[in-house]
Amino acid sequence: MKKYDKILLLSLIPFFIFSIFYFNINSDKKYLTIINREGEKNYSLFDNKIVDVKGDLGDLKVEINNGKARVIESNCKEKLCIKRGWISIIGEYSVCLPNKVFIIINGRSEVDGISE
Amino acid sequence: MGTFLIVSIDNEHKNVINKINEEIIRIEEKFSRFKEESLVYKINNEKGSWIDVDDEFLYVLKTSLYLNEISNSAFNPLIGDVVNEWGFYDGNYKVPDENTLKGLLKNIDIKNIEIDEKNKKIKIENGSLDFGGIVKGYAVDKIREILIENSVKEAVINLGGDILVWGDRKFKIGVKNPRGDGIIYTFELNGNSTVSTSGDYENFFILDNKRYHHIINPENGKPAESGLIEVSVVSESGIIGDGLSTTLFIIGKERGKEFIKNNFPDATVLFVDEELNMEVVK
Repeated sequence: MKKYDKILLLSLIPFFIFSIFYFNINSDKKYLTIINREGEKNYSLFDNKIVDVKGDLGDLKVEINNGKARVIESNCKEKLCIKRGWISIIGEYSVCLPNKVFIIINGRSEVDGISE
Repeated sequence: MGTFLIVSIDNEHKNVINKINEEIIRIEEKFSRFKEESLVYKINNEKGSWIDVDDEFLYVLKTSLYLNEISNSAFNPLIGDVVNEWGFYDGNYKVPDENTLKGLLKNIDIKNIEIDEKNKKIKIENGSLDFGGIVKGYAVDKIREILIENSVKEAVINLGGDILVWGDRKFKIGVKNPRGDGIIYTFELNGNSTVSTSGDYENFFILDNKRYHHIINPENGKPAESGLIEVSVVSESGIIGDGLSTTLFIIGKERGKEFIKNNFPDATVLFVDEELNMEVVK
């Protein structure tokens, strides 16, 4: 299997009514993918802005700034998604489980995965 | 609660994710502290009663008791009430007072767990079970079985940060930078390896400039202060790797190196200390 043939599948568990998303990793450039219950959207990481994302509990705000992204606002209790801070390299992610929102730096990566 | 799953796999086998999902949900429904229908919930809420369990439950329980024994109780599956007191389960963070902690620590002796192996029953008198330090790794082992059953040649599984690499090539797995974005180290691994990482950045709160994290030292009921802020373990067994990353985080580097040498010489461990110094022990 060549790296560019692989697909990435994401599931948030428990997900009973949550879809599984399929990414084709075929871009040499890194970009941000934001996934919520409504679907997935891709964003340039160099188009600096604040993105409003609908979560299960309310809206989140995701900041994109010079190749990095982070969750800056969420109404979840633990705020683990905000504490996660910036993500910047391909394969890095931040997840807000209560809101069922997942953000990941997408693209063809030098590493096969990131443990944390 | 819950977790996330990222599966990197060839297009031909993409439907395997449904089987993996079902398996993780099955495991969560048995081992979750929070689902009322789970065995762990039942055991925790019916203290003093014998509860019917199965071989799978006994395997996970006995693995955690084994880690408890060889680590001089640094790994403790009865720590649930202490973790709960700090608010790490529900985000109601607080620093418990010493007397409360002392009271809770009296209940975490694993002698409170009684096992009737013949009749597959267990009973706990005090404390509450929390398999959070081990069950994700167990799930990773079960995912490997699914990959084998479905003749998957190559895959990378990320279950809430626990990784399984599967296939006949070298893989590169990064370890999260514990104090910023990006990765701090990259493991080069053969297929059929798992990587489990424990860090003080996963679930924490800061009060009066002090960081309180969720990896509790059963000796004092407080977040472990071993000088380490991240430990990553490479092991063939997911359940052992998961339990080890927690254990080593608690016991610290020097004791940890000896512990690995004596008990798990095949494991590879990355220790990261507060100054972000790294040491890899093979």
